[in-house]
Formats: sequence, C-alpha cells, structure tokens
Amino acid sequence: MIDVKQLLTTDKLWDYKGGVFPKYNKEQSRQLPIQPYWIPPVVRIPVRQHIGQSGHINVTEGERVLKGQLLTEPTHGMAVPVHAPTSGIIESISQGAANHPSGLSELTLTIRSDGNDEWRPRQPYANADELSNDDLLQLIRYAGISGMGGAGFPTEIKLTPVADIKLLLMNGAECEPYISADDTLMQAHANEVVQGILLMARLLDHPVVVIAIEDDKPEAIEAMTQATADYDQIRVRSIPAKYPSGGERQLIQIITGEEVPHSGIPADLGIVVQNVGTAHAVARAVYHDEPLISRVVTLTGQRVLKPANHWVLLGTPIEDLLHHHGLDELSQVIVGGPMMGYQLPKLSGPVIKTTNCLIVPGQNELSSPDNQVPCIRCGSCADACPVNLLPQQLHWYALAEDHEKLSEHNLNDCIECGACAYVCPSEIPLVLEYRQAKAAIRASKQEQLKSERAKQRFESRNLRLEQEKIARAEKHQQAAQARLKAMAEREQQASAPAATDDKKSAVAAALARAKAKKAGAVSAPPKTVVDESGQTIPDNRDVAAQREARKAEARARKAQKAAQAVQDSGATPTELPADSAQQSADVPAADNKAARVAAAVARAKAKRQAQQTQADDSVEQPAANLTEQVTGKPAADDKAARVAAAVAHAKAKRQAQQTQAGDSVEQPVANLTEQVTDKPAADDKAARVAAAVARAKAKRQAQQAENQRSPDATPRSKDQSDS
Amino acid sequence: MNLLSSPFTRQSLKTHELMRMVILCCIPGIAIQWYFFGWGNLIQIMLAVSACWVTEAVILIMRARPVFRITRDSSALLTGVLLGIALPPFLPWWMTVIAAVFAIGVVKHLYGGLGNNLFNPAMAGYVLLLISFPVAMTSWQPVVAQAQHQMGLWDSLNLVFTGFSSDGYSIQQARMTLDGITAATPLDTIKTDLRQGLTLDESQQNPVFGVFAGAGWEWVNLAFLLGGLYLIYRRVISWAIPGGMLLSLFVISGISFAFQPDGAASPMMHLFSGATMLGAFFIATDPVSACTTVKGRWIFGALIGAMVYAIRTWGGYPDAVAFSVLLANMSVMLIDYYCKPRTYGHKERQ
Repeated sequence: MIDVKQLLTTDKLWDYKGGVFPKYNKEQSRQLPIQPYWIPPVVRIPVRQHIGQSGHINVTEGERVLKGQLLTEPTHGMAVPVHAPTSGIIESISQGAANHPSGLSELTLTIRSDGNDEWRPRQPYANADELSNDDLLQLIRYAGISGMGGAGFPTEIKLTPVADIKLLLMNGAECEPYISADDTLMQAHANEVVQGILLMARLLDHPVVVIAIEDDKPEAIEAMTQATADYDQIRVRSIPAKYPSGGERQLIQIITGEEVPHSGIPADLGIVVQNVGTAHAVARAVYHDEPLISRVVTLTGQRVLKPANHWVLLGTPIEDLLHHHGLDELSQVIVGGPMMGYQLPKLSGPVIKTTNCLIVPGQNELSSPDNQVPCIRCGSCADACPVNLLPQQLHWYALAEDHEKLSEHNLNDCIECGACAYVCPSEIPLVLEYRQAKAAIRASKQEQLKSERAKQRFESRNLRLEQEKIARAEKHQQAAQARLKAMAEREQQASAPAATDDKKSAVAAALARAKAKKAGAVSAPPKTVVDESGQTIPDNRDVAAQREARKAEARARKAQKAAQAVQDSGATPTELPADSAQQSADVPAADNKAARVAAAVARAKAKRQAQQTQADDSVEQPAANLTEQVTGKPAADDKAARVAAAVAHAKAKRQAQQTQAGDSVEQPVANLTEQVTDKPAADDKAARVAAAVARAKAKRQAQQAENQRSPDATPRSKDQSDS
Repeated sequence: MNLLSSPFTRQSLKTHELMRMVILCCIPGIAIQWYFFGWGNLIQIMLAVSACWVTEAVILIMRARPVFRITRDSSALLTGVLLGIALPPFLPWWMTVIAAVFAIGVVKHLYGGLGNNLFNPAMAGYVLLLISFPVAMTSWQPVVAQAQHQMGLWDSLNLVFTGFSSDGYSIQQARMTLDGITAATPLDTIKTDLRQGLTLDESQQNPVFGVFAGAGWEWVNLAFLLGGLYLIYRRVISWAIPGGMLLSLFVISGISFAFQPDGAASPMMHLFSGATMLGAFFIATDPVSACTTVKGRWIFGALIGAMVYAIRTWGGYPDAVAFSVLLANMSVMLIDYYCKPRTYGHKERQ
C-alpha cells in the first residue's frame, strides 16, 4: 500500500523504464486566452460518447430543445446521458457519421440550432454542502460527465468508492505532442479545476490529492499551485516531460513508485486517477448547473493559420468547425495527438466528450510510414516500451499469428502508446499489428467459447438420450419381469390341475387364432400379387401382419390374464408370489443363455445358406411351414421352441435376401414376425430382441426390394400402409 | 482516403541509415589496417562488397522482390565490408567471392532475407573459408614496416587475382619478414611459443609484438574501439553486447594471467589482438542474429568473450571471434526466452 503522508512531503519522483521524447509542438497553441465557442448551424450528438451504453432517447424529431436539456435518460449503470449544446429543433434521429477510427455510423441526434443559445432553467448550487454524496453522484451522472482525458469512462462510477481510496491523482500531464487543452484550461480556470477536485475528494472520503503536471507547462503549474495554496491535502507535482507519462499507470508509477497489478485497477492500490478537465466539468455541473456540453479543443497543425485552444460545443461537426476557421479542402485530420490519435474517417464527424485535439497537418508534417522494411531486431522498441514488453518478439509472433506466444509475452498489457512504432527504424506499424492481433485473439476466444457451449449442449443432449434409453430399458425390464412372473404362475398352475385346463385352452385359443390368421395371410398374398402385379403389397402386408401379430399378442395376454384371474380366485394367493419369483430367477436364466447361443448358431448357419442359395426361390414355402410348426408347439417346450424360431427366422431371412428381385417373399418374414411376436408370456427378453431385429430386417429388405423394382412405388406403399 | 494508423510521427533514424552509420564507423579501423597491412584489405573489401551486392541483387530478382528498394537498406554492403576487413589481405579473389556468395545467398536469403537470418552472414562466410582453406585463411601479412617485399596497389591486385605480384613474388613470399621467415600473427606466435614451453616474456621478444599488444594490430583494434564507441554514443548499437564480451574476455584472461603470468597471454593482448574489437562492436552487435533483450545481450556478449578465450587458448585456430559469434548465434532463442523482462504490473517470474 502507498504511504500517502510521504506523498505530501517527499521530493522524490520515480521513473518508469522506456518512454520517448518526441517533438512536442505545443508552443504553437498553448497561449491564452481560450477562444470562445462558436454556434454551428447544425450540431450532431451521438448518443454514445463514452465507454458503456447509451441512454434512452427522450426527445422526438421536430421537438424544440433548449441548451443543456437532457436528450437521453441514463437507464442503466454504465449509461451516460447527452445534452443539447444549444437551443434548436431536433431535425433527425438517425445513423450519422461518427468520430471514431472505425468509420462506422452511430445513432446521432441532429439539432438545427436557432442561434438563440437559450438555456433551460438552471438551479446552480452555491454551496455543495447542501448536497448529500448520493445526490452529488447523481448530479455528476446526470450532467453527462465521463473521463475527458482519453477513454471516456463514466466519472460517477469512478467516484463511487469501491475501496479505501488514499490518493486522488489528478492527471494534468498531457504528455501527447501538440495537445495543450488541459494546459490552457489549468492556466485559465485553475480555481474551477480546484473546486472540482475538492468535490471529487469529498466523494472519495478526502484522500490526499496530487496534481501531476509535466514540467513543460510552467504557467499551468504556477496557476495550480496558487489555486491550491490554501489546501494542505492537495499538492502540485511537476514531473519530467516524457511520453507517455500521462498514461494512468505510468503516472501512478511516477508519483508513487507502485505498479498497478496485472489485470487490476488503480483502486486496488487505493488510487483514483482523474483528468483535470473532468474536475472542471464537475465544478461547472455543480456550481453552474451546466452539464457537459462543451470542452476545450486544441486546433493545431501546420495548416491551421492560428493554432489555439477553443471552447467547442459538443456535437459541432469537425468539418464545419475547421471551415469556420478558414480551412478548406481538408484531406487529413487527426483527432487526438500524433502518438495515439487517429485519422478522422469522415470529416463530418462531430466533436465529442473525449476530443481534445484536432490536428490539420501540413504536407510532410505527420505521416504514417510507407516504406516499411524487415525488422532487424535492433531492440529500440523494447527500450522505448513503458510497460517493459518485447515489441520485437510480439511483432514476430503477431506475423506468425501465434496467439499462445503473444499471450505469453503479455500482449494484453500493451497500452498502445505507440512508443515502439515511433522509434522503429524499420517503420513497422507495430501498434496496428498489436491491435489486430488483440482483436484476433478476442475473436478466437469468443469462437472457443461458442464451440465450448456447443459441446456442452451436445453432451447434455447425449446424456439426456442415454437417460431416456436407460429409463426405457428399465420399463421394458419391468414389463418383462411381470411377464416372467405370469409365466411362473402359469407353470405353477400346470402342477395345479384345476388351472391347467384354463391355461391350456387360452394358449390353444391364441395359437388357433394365430394359425387361422396366418393361413389367411398365406392364402391372400398370391391373389393380391397377381392383382396388383406384386409390386408394393408385400410391404403393406408386412406392416399389417405386424399389427395383427401385436393384436394377437394382446389377445393372448388378455386371455392369459383372464385365466390367471380365475386361477387366483381359486388358489392360495399368499404362496404364489414367492414361488413365481423363485422360478423366474431359476428357470429363464439357465434356459436363456443356451437358447440364445443356439439361436445365434442357427442364424449364422442360415445366413451362410442364404448366401449359397441366392438364386433358389423355392424355399419360402417350407419356411412358412416351419414357422407354423413352431407356433403350433406347446408353450411348455420353451427352449426348443425358441431355437426352432431362430432357425425359422434365419431361413426366412435368407429367403428375403434371396428374392430381393422376386416377389411375395415378405410373406414368410411377416409370418415369422407374427410368430415371434405372437409367442405368449413364455417369451423372454432375448426372443423379443430377436423379433425386433427380424422386424427391422424385414422392413429394410422390403424397402430395398421396392427401391430396386421401381422408385415411384414408394409413395404408394406408404399410402397403403397408412390406410 | 488512405487510412493510416497511429503514431503519425517517427523518429528520424531509419534502418538503412543505421547500416550506413555502422559502415562509416568502420572507416577508422579500415584506414589503420591499410596503413599497417597495405592495400590488400581494401581490395578484399571491394571484392566482397561487389560480390555481396551482386548476389543480393540476383537473389532478389529470383525472389521477385523490388531490387532497388531493398538493396537501398545497405545491409549487403555492410556484410561485404565486414567480410573484407576480416579476410587475409592477399587471399585469392575467388575465395572471397565464395565467402560473399555463401554469406548472402545461403546464410541470409535462404533463411528469408534481412531480419530472418539465424547466423551472422559475414562470419558464416568467413568460417566457411576457414574450414575449407585453413592455410590460405591463416596467412596474414606482417606489418608493412617489417615486410621483406613492399607490395604496392598494383602488386597487391596481382597477388589477389593471379597469385603472384608483378615482380613474380608469390603470396608466401609476400609474407616474408625482414628476417626472411614467414610472418605469424601475434596470437599465433604466442600460442605456438607457449606450447613450445617458452615463457611469455621470451615470446614477446618477437618483433610481431608492439607497445601493448601485437604490432599494428593494437592500433587497428583501437581504431575499431573508437568507431564502436561512437556507435554506442549514437545509440546505433547497445553497449550490452560489447560490454559483456569485452568484460568476460578481460575477466577470464585476467584470472588466467594472474595465476600464470608467464604462461598465458595478458588481458591486454586478448583485448587488442586479432578481431576482438571488430568482433565486439561490429560483428557480435549485428542485431538480427544477436539477442534482443537487455539481459540476454549481456549473456550473449559474455558467452562470446568466454568462447573467444577458450578457443584462443585451447583450440586449434589462432583467433576465435567468428566461431564464437556463430556458436552464440545458435543460443540466441534460448537466451532471449529466459530473459524476458518483467512486464509492468506482473510479478517477478518464479
């Protein structure tokens, strides 16, 4: 933590590594007075002029507004309102040329001024003690004040204490060449600046205040020293002129010797840094009820006849302003200083809250390099870098787009001050490269985030499907167990003579029904085939047969239940569950395994045969017969029946394969399916699985057969299966 | 409108100006070299510069790059000058051309041209010759005042291009001293004498030694030192590399000299003989192939100094700057990686 007591007494200043000494070119413009503002015929107010969001527009087109009237309402935290800089009519609310390096348009309120410059009613406070801290913060917020030095951070947020603030550091360094706006402001309005500082200090619970000014502004230092003479908690420090001493973090290092921790903010050290221009704006807002509607702008450059500082209404189109000062045929205007400023993409862009300087350079005064040569790793850039980066390595990695290495070399700590590019003998646009690399890294991080989210979505979907599957399997298992139980009960009945008849008759009935149906099905197909030239019917029949099979199964189950109900009423109910459970545990486990193996063997055999006899189509009938026989066997002979079923199923499959080009093949498959599904409770899980497989296969084969025959048959078969 | 990026103002010193400044600062050394060793080196410099420049132009044409714009950077010129200074005065012309073509064509352009070469081109060309033609490469002339045969400009040209002077003397004959023996360089003399069991005092009776180091060589080195100091003053080179190299050479040879004053060359001898000063200020400081971090440059320089001492003392070659620089070039990436400075706001690396 910083020793604040010492800051008031010590003569010691720290230095930071690096920095450059460009030609300052401030003499041209730094004389007093600051020129008064000019009312342009039209002002353009972008709704957003700071870091954060714009407020909500509360005026409409055609409305007359007065000077200082609120144009947007700050509806959320980071929103800062804008005000009418002069009285006039809202001409339009539309996208307009922005004062931003991107050249993109921004939502802009255009006001045609009436020339009266008529104020809204004002209620200035003579004594700010009347205001509570909260009221004062609200006042600052509603006055639309954001940082006037560089980035334009909402001032109210910075003045809302988040930590124990020990030092309020007032930035009057103004280290960029050409700019003298803060310099002249401090010279001309030192008292108001100090008033603003006192208000800020009050909000931060009276920390020590240090006003840092570079030593090339002796008049400003003198004026500020005089203005603060009565306050022993405020001290003016003259710091050596070096670029970029006015950078927030560099200034902290100069005054306190401390470094703001990586990815931290000055408040972590108990420091708040504010620009002197912002302090002035705060004082105007409180003591004159004058929101932020104008600022000091340095107009300079070789083409400007009389370089000077001017009060400029925010929203004044830069082009008009320069025309007003006798400049025609503008080609290049630089906003801000030559080190960190940018070339104005559209000259009609307006002056905004952060516009401190406009440079209209002469022919060879300022230029970006056009004869870049390869980097020779001379290291001048590393010597100049105020944050101790290795720009030559960053350059190398930026060209290679090696984002990992760029992060490793702390690209994100680059403050884009331009010192490296300034000293580069190879004239490499280093800052531009770093900006692009930063943007690329940001973009790829977002991309990563997006794909991460997509992955999560995909995984949770898979999880959901898995859970559904498990739930389904559980349900099936429960059903299977219920059936096993029923089977066990039935076997129990077999030993009890009274129940046997019922059960047998039920089974026999089911079998008979199945047989009858099958017979019908077997006899039907040839006719249909002949009638409809045998093209699409099989599929339809297949589906129908399956449906029938299910119905038969349901019927069989019903009959069985009925039989059981009869039996239950007669037999002793208490003994049954225990027995059935025992049986279901013993019998099927042993049987199932053997049966499944046998079935698999049979299937394999059948398959091989099928491959052998692809041309033979006379096999279908036996298969059908076989299935019939299988169905006919008594249910007690479970194992044998299952094996036989598997064999039949295999044979049927072979036939199906074999007659892909033939016709009436699906019949046996249908039969088989019927038979398999038809099996009453004696069936276990394996059998059901086999049936499902058989169904699927039959279906696929049917589709294949169909596709091979004629493509237009498909819709028809669909119709039929629907009907 | 052509959109430009900040900063819009630049320091005036440009890369080609840096290169030319380095070449200009070589001039005192070249002049002294001419004074003591005759026309040979000027011929070698002319040869090497022409060969370098032609090679550069041809390769740029082959690479379809703007020849005029790029050759303006004078980097090939500098390579040629340094190579010419380092080569023995009466080296056959074709060897010089081989070295120049290798330096520019292979070492510089095959790696991607200016800024991309791993090795110092001039030294790589020099070492190529040193390995291929060790006898020719170690055949230095005695200082003019001690030579049996005086070689004028015409004789020197003839020697370089035909192998014989206009009077019919061969290169070996041109190396005869007044005593009629073939001259050896001071470093060579010390090395041979010490190995033969002579003491340093005995060895230094030899007329190849001058006031504080080798005759003639001491003044050549002094001239390069002055040129180098001017480069540091103009901030063309950083003082870390020469500082590190000279300091380590001085300390190591000093320790060795303190322990065996009669059995080792003095630190003065090391600092002002052979290519020490040329190497420290003009060759090791080639920014492209040297370290680029401040700490790394000290280590880089110190490494060269230590290797120069080691090779001079125990190696097979009389001088060692070229080998040391190339070996140090190889370790640049590693050194730089571990010498990253602590960025503002970051904690010191563990």
